[in-house]
Amino acid sequence: MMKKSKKLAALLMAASMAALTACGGSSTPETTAAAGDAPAETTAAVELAEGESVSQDTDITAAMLVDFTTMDPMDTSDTLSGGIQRLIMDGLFGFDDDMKIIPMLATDYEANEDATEFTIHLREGIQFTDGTPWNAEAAKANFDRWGDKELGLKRTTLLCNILKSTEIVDDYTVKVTLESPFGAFIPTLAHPACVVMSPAVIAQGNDACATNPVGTGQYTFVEWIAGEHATIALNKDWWGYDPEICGGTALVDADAGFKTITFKPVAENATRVAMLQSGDAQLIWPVPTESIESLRGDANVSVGQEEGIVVRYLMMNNQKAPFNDVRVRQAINYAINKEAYCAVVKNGVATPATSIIGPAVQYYKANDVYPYDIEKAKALLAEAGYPDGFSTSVMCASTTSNLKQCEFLQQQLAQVGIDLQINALESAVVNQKVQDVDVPGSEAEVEMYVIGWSPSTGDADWGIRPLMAVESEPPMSYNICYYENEEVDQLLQDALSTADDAKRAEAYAKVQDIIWEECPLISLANDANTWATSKNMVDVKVFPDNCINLRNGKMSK
Amino acid sequence: MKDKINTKAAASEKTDISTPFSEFVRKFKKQKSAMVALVFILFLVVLSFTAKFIAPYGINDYDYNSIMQAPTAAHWFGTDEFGRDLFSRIICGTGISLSVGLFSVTIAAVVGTVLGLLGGYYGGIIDSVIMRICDALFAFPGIILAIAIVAILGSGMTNVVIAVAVFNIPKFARLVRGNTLATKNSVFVQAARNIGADDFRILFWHILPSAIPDIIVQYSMSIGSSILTASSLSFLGMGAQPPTPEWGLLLSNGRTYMMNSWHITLFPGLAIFLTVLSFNLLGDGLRDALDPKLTD
Repeated sequence: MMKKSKKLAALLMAASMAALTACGGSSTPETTAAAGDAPAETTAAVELAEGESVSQDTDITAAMLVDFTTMDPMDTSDTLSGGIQRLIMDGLFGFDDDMKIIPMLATDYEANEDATEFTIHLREGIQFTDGTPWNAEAAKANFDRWGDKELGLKRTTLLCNILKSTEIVDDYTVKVTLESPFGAFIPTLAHPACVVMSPAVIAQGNDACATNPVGTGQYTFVEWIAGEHATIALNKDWWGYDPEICGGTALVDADAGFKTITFKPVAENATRVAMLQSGDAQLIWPVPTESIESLRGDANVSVGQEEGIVVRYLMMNNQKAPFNDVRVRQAINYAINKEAYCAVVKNGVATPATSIIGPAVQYYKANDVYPYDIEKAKALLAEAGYPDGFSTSVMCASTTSNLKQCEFLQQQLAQVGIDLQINALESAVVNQKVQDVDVPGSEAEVEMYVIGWSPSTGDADWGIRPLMAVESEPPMSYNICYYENEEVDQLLQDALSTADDAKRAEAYAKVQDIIWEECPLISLANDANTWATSKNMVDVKVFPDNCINLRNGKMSK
Repeated sequence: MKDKINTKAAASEKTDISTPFSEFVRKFKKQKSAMVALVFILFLVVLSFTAKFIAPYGINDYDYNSIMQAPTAAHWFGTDEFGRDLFSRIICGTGISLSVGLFSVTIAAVVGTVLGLLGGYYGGIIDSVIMRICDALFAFPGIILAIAIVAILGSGMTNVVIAVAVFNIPKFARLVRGNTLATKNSVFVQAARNIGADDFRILFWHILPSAIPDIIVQYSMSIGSSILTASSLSFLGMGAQPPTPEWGLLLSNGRTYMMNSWHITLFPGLAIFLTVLSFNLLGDGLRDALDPKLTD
């Protein structure tokens, strides 16, 4: 077994090195095949000649893994719902294809030194699709909603404790004052939860926001029948098509967009793939990793793959023995073969993680992957007083991919004598046992947990704070590790209290180093995002946070 | 025939070479398909005890270098998503499926028979209560009832056995009750009562034996459907948990890879299919051999 593993490790090392060189260390995610095989062909490579696009007259169907949960951005915690909302509503700031922040409904901003006052200039000449003009008043209505502590929605805490007041300076300028310094304010405004709604809908209350969203977006909302489909229709008057409003260059090509898009929830992986192959759907998300090869062989389908910022973690309850010993946590890190994890669990559509956040996230700092070293792991365990290992359990929602992941971890940890029980439960039950508990970590039921996380602000703060800060322990957020490190907390605070890039970068680099050394959680892999479309569709992508990006999507005859 | 199977009644016919049992054996031997099924089931039983020793690989021996390989000489049924040998896993899973079928149906047969005897013999309120409960259980399709029970008790093989047993109980209860109603007024039961036999003796020594042939048929038929239900529950993630090589679970795993690696689904499916078919054929054969109305 040892010999085999070594051979495998060597093979995978070579493969991943090829993949890494392909990325060239540049921060721009490039299209690469994670396992180092032939480069993935993406839709982005195809260019459509002028007038070739027929997409604005075409209805398309998109098959999605899950249904939408709500149309209210402030109540959305899943990437998919965020994806459709980004099409209907624009934010003050948004992301380009590589998740760099770009101004959307704002044009620029000024911040004071302490990062407590932000003056935001708004884009002129834009209307909501219900006819309400976009101006400082509309902006204030949105800021007031985001700052409303009584809102009681899933994303309320994103901004409610930060916003103090919003002043209208003139018709197209607002001044936002914050309670305390918050350096990640602009990336947070780019978070999909902070897309702007028409003040008319906000005035009607939360129910209207959840069922009938109105924004300034490229599409208008048509209908959503839960469990069946959601439909949106093209808004040809969208400001993004108008070079003048956009300040020179239009945000998207004039022929981009589809007449209508119907999203259907199709949970079964094989069904989604079959729908694409038979032409019942023109777009599927995500592509089941095990089907990528067969879809690549299909002449009517094009498969896209891009490095993303979703990181997969194995969390450990740091307040409970034996995980309260850093040596045990490190031993577990050494005992897990990340290369094999990517190859076996992720079918090669992932690369070993090099930090708690993905490479495309701002302020990312790379560290060396813990090598796969059984002997070292055993030595560390022996040193910590567990020479024969121990028994523990991992909790997860009972999905095919989770089970596969846990089974793999079970096999890996068995090599150092750790007997891992898989506790796969229905997702609502898992939530109840892991998330909705208000007890100290030492009393929490969870021992180990698998989770994936992608900061939709593109900023290190939202990639680390919700997972590692003491304030983020359940039920508040996702510090399911119950990791309590004063230095990390302080650094996270320091980084937030300045808008100075260099200072923030320094603090986050230090945080990442500490976390890497102490292993409160094990960063397993960076997922590569995958999607597949019918062959005649171009420029359809996903954002690095795995949210679908149809902004510039087109279709040829 | 029913009277004959009663040992007392048969005693007087000792001189006859044709005992009920030899009669049954003679008839059963004529059921060719049932004989084949019986041989296959015996083979499975032997396999479930010896699988551990004859499996070429351990059930959890993974090999990341050979994941999802199609059948080869080294791996007769191919390998799964972790490179584990599917042949070894399937033969080691035989015992799990057989014992789930056996245990759940045995529990159901015992409980159902007692309930049926009580209801049929005493009648009145006891009968009404038992039979109405059975009606209520019958109203649910078996698998739905089993899912509901597992949802309440939690997943795991023990709870699957309980769930499958519960939905099999009414079948036995009804069957035995019908039989009891038919025999409780027959002459030999009245004779027994007249000589002072108590209810217990009458129920278990005089009435029950006449129901045995029907129970045996129902028993073997139920094992097949119980194995299927238990596998379905595991398929749905409510029964065996990975890495147990339970057939339903193997099938469920393979489903994900069906488009590319057919063998991961095919072989566990075949195993379930053949086993259930065998028990059903055996049941058919037993019914034909034990039914006095069918003459050859």
